[in-house]
Parts: sequence; C-alpha cells; structure tokens
Amino acid sequence: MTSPEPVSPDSGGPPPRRGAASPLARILPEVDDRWMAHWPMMLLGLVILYNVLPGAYGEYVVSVAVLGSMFAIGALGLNVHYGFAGLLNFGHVMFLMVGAYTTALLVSGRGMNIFLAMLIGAVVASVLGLVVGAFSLRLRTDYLAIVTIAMAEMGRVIIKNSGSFRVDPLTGSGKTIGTGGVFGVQNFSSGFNSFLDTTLPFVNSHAWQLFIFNAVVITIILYMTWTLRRSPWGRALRAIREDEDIAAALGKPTFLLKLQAFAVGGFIGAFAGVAFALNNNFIDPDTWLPIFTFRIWIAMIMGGAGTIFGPVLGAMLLQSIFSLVRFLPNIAASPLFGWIPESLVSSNRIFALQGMLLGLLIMLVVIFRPQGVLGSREDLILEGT
Amino acid sequence: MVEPRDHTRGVPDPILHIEGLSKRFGGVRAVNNASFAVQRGTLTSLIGPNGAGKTTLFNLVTGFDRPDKGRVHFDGHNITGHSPPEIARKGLVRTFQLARDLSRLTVFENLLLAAQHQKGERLIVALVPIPMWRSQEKANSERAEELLELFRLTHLRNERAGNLSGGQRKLVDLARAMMMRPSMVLLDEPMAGVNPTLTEQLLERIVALRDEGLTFLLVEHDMDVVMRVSERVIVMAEGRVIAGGTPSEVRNDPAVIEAYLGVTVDRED
Repeated sequence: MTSPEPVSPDSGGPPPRRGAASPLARILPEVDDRWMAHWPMMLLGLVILYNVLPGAYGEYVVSVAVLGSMFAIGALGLNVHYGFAGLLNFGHVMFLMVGAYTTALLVSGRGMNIFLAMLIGAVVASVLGLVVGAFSLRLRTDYLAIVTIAMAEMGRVIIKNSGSFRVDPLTGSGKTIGTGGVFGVQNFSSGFNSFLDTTLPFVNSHAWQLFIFNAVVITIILYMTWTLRRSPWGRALRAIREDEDIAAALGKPTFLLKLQAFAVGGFIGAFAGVAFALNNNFIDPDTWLPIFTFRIWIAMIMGGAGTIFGPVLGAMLLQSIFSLVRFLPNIAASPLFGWIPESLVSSNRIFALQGMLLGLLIMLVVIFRPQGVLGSREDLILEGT
Repeated sequence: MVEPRDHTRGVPDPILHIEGLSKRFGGVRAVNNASFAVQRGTLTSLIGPNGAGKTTLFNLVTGFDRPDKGRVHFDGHNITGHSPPEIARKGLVRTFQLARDLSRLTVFENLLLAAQHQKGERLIVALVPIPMWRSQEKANSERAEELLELFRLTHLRNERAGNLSGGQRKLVDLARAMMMRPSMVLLDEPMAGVNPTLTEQLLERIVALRDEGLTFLLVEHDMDVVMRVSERVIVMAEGRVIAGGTPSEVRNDPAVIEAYLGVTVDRED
C-alpha cells in the first residue's frame, strides 16, 4: 500500500482496521470471486476420493455428495434471502416442497417432460414467494421468521390431508391427479433416469449421474448468484440488509427489492426439492418438516452467509459429518477406540448421535467461526456499528 | 471562514411548502399545526430546544412518518403521505441525525449506491450475465470519485464505512446525498459530534453547494453556526413554529428568547 496522500489534518488517515482482510479481499472488496477456484477444487477432491477409496466406500462417498449437493442448492437459495437481503426465512422448506410436488405431479400425472416440469415447479415456488412475501415482508424481521415457519407447516399439513381432492391443477377436469396425501407421490424419475443414461453413457454409476446433474445445477446457480451479487441490484440488497431506512432514504424501492430477493431465493430452493425428489423417486409430506429448513440454515451459516460459495461448502461439510457418524460403530469396533462403550454407538442410536453432533457443531461454529468458514470476520464485527 | 450572504433574494420561490402539519404520538403533540416555506437556493435553519419536534418534522416531510393532518408540497408536487423512496427520487433528500452509514459497504460503495435511475438495480438486467449496467456504473464511478475528491475523502475510498470516525461519516453522508443530484437536502444535525476543524470543512461544503443553487434545510444546535450561515431561521418549540425570519430578527424575538431561556441553561454544548 502506498502512503496515504496528503489530506487535511483534521480528517486524519485511515483508521486502524478491525479484523484482518486478506490481500485478495482488498482487491475484491465487494464480491467473493473465489468460488471459481473453490468449486472445481471440491469436484476434483471428490473424484480423487472416489478413486482412492475401495469400491463400496467410493460409491458411498458419492451418494453422500449427492445428498450434500441437494442441501447446497437449498442453502444457495436461502443465502439470497438471508445472506443477501437479511430476510429471516425460517420456512425455506416450503419452496423445496412446492418445487418437488409440482414437478412430481406434472411428470407422474401428465407425463410432462421432466425439465419443463422442473422449470414450472421453480416458477410456482417463486410465485409462492411473491404471494407470501407480499403480506409478510413489511413485517419486522422477527415476525417474518414466525410467518414463514407457519406458512411452511401449513403447506405441509394441507398436502398431508389433501390426497382425496384429486383436482387436475391445469384443466380442472379430465384425468385427475392428487398429492397422494400421506402416501405421497412416487415413480416419476424414470424419464429423468433414462435421460441421465443417454446423456452420460460413460458414467455407469447412478450416484455419479445424479451428482453430475446436481453439480451442473449448482454451477448455474453459483454463476447466477455471483452475477446478482456484484450487480447494483445486489448492492441495493446489501444496503437493505444493513439499514433499510437508509436504503429508502436513498430512493431504493426497498419492499420491491426484498420481494424480488424472496422470489429468486424461492426459485433456487425449488431445485433443491426437485433434486431430493428425483434422488428418492418418492416424496411424502413428512419429508418437509421444519428440521429440514434448520439443516439448510446450519449449512449456510457454517459455510458463510452472504458469500457465494459458502452455502455449498457448508452443505457438503454438514452432510459429510452427518454421514461419518454412521461409521462410528465400525470405528468403535477397532482396537484403537475400544474404550468407547458399544452401547453408545449402536446403530439404533445413530439418529440421536447425529442430533447431538449437530448441536455440538452449531456451538463450535458460533464460538470459533461465527462468520462461517468463508465469511469475513470484518463483516461480522462491523455489523450494526 | 464562511461569510453570511445577502438575504434579499427577490421574488419568493418556495421549493418546500408545509401547511398545517400535525403529528401526535399518544398524548404528545410532536408536531402541532406547523406551517412554513423554504425558498429555493437558500440555506434555512430549523432550530428549537430538544423535543421541539424538529426530527419528527423531518420524518413527516420525507415520508418516514405519516402526518395526521396537513400537507407537504415539494417543487410543485403534493408529496404528503408518499413513501421515503418516492420522495427521495423527486430530489428531496435527507440525512440522519446519527450518521447512519452502511457500515459494511466501503465509502465508495456507499456513494455508488446513492446514484439514481440505475439500470442494474432492475432484477431482469442484473440477471443477465453480461453486465449491461457497466457503462452507467462507470459514469457513476467517475462522479463518485469527483465527490470523494471534493469532500477530501479519497484516501478513505476503500475503507468500510463502519471503520470511520463520526465526523468522517457525516462527510460521507453529505457526499452520498450529493450523489443523488438532489434539489433540496434536509440535514439533521450534521455537525453533532464532529470536531471543530471538520465542522468548518463541512460548513464550507454546504455553503459552496448552496451557492451553486442547492437548497438546504438544516437542523442544528450550534447557534453560532446557525446565525452565521443561514439566510432564514425557523424556530420550533413544543411542536409549534413560534418564529421565522432572518437570523437577527429571530435573535431578538421575545418568543424565541422565552422558549430558549429555560433550556439554554441546561445545555452542555
């Protein structure tokens, strides 16, 4: 850095920095451009891991990555809400649910092309975002959190009890389809799977095919959120996140901008639901419990809210840790860990252990890296100053 | 040193006209039937003891609060009840009493943000991978650089606004307001908490901008400053406008002296 140019003595030089900024962060003060390096690195890491590990383990790692990538898409959508615009959306799962159901019903009921159905699902989710946002985004942020969580739960309960409605959403008559109520919807992935087989004939693992598809979706979303964040639109949203009154005083249409952010995040979130549905070839209402939203939140916070790549990294980390818990019985069986009582890590306690680990993880992140792995410490310190 | 200017400006041409503005908060009449006009191209000060309703009046004029009664006309438009962004886009810009900068944005970003009619703030445009807003952004950047130069903030260009001192933030506030190319600026205590040298610098800027034709309405506690630079002074007390006129007229107004007497003793600045 060159020495500061001579200035009037009263205004002084730059004040001492609070929190260190990396040289890269100084060159690129406004945007996290490093996703372009991080994302290929992560993909390469997965390929290496797959080839190094013995057969079944490699396959398992890829299936973990498929799950992780699904959470990553969800977290990328939530990041537009919270990371970009500061909207406390605690009902994110409703966007996933609407995207998944719309797609699944259009494909299974009407035999629609899977990609067209996916797109319609995402559009329906963003329209839902506009509707929910229209009456909730004027609320204070804490009320928004309550409204969104209630909306998501209402949607889930309605779907759960609506199996017998059997109304065709497009024509209102003719061939009837329904949400399947508690039984859910199934068998809609065959068209998608045969598409994967024809497009990726050289990939003989289904998990890899799914992952490649999710990775393409993630790449498109990363590019999209990156483009948005560095645009004046993204800057206006950051201003709203900082202080909505100031943004309004500067002539920014704050309500409209928040509404747009809500719709964009919902559009992205829908693809997470679709990815989840296609992975399982089955969806039912109880897939979309509030805990789903919270896992997406943890993924985003862990990786770094407001960054471009943080949500993906956080989701992958979270899913890896979750999946590693499964191997605890094996690890405990090894001589090195003989002191761990077997009853503690028996397979029927895995879920409880996952929950405990999740709690521990949140505490560790909040204590040692509250800004997330990729977040900026300076941003956190300056919040609300 | 800032010189007072000639007060005789010919034909009255009010840019801001307030009629019978009232606002109650519970039992408190924060603003009570306030009426006055601000002439185009002048620096008018709004003074009054604490709790006189000056900030509430600012909020009513700029749309942050809705008046119970009364009307606000700005530049030929009735802007009563309009939203803050609408009013700001009409060219009536305000600053806040506490320098409220967007702390995590850099000084430069704070300025760029304030530019009006940005194409790239439309979602459709922002979504296009090729930034169609580049050329406009470049023009805005040039203007921002000029303003930074003018306000002697260039050395703080890439500093996060949250890292600045109170006085520096006030300068950024004013520069940011200028970025919007306003026709009138409402300044809520721009000198509060600012060291004397920086105060002089701020004042110099304000007067220079006034001389270029910008209208200012200033809430200020420093009587010395008010009497020195304003062409007109409006005095409020307990929500009412109790006097208005040139600084010397106001200074000798018995109503003003009465309103201030009990309060001046308590004042610590």
